[in-house]
Amino acid sequence: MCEFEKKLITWMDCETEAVEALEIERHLRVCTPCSARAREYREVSRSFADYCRAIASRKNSRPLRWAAFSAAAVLAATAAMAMLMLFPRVDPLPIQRPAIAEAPAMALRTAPVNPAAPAKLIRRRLRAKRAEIPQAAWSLEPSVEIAIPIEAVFAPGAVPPGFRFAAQLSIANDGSSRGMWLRP
Amino acid sequence: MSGDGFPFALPASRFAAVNQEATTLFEQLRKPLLRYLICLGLSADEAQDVVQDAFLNLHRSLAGGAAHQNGRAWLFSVAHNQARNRQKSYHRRFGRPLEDGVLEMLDESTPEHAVLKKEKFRQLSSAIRTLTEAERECLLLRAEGLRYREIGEVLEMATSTVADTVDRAVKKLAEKCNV
Repeated sequence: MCEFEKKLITWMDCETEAVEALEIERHLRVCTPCSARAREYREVSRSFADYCRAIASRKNSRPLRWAAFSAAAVLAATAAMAMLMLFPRVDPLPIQRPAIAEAPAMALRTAPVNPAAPAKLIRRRLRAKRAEIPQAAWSLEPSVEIAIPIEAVFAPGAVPPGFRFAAQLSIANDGSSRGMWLRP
Repeated sequence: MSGDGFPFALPASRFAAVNQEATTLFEQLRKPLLRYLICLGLSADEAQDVVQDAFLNLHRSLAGGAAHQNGRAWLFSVAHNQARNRQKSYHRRFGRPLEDGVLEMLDESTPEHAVLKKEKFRQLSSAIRTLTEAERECLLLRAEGLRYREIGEVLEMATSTVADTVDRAVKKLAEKCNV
């Protein structure tokens, strides 16, 4: 090991006497291993300083991120309040009650479809199932009605203008949904 | 006037000079001090508190007529001791700074640069774990631009010991990082 190698770090940090520093610089011009070592030490020192800076900026940026998040939340809440104050109440759209008496309700939900069975047979089974369902089960007046604009259900342009759907939802006594179907 | 209060009876010219000196030091050293404290393991809020306390102490000391030959070493020393006290009072380990989370926030210009830097930081992070507490503190203070004599003042070490410690620490890092 070269005798100057011990002094390289103190020389790099400008902590050596001027005379000694000159001596080291002269040596580095001719000694390739020492100059490579000096480069290595300088590089690792720079990486360490970068690392410290990265840690400090990461820790300091956290409160800023939270502040930005909080500011965004406050802005959103203010905007929502302003909207509520400007447009206090929106009347619900008039709902066209569908003629639900003809809807093939329970049959669609309950009939298991065998893909291997011929279409004619499936239709026959569906008709038989429909006949089994007591009329009162699905022709009752709906107690809850929800109007959903068609634009919210289908992609824009997917439904021709003037075309309307009505949805009927059947709810059991325990509150669970028993079936839902759409009718044009 | 209590011992903790500001000596408001200072002449205006003296008060202005003290203010000027403290402001200059604040502008120069606030960020390096924060970085050092955060790298020691304090949270950003704690580091801010310690820095504020250190500058308040400096102001009091200057206003009290004390003359600091080396304000930088004095401030780092005060901040270092306060950080030590805080960490002792919170029953935390002092030697667990410089964690890995930094790898997640690297934002380099190209993905190749990001990958290279991430790899370099990963190596460095594992190399830092092999350093002793004194070696780590010496390197941190050196990274903030303190001279060996100042590091010695902060850590209460002889200058020659600081030189040896820094030498040993840099060589360890270079060896582990395969630069």
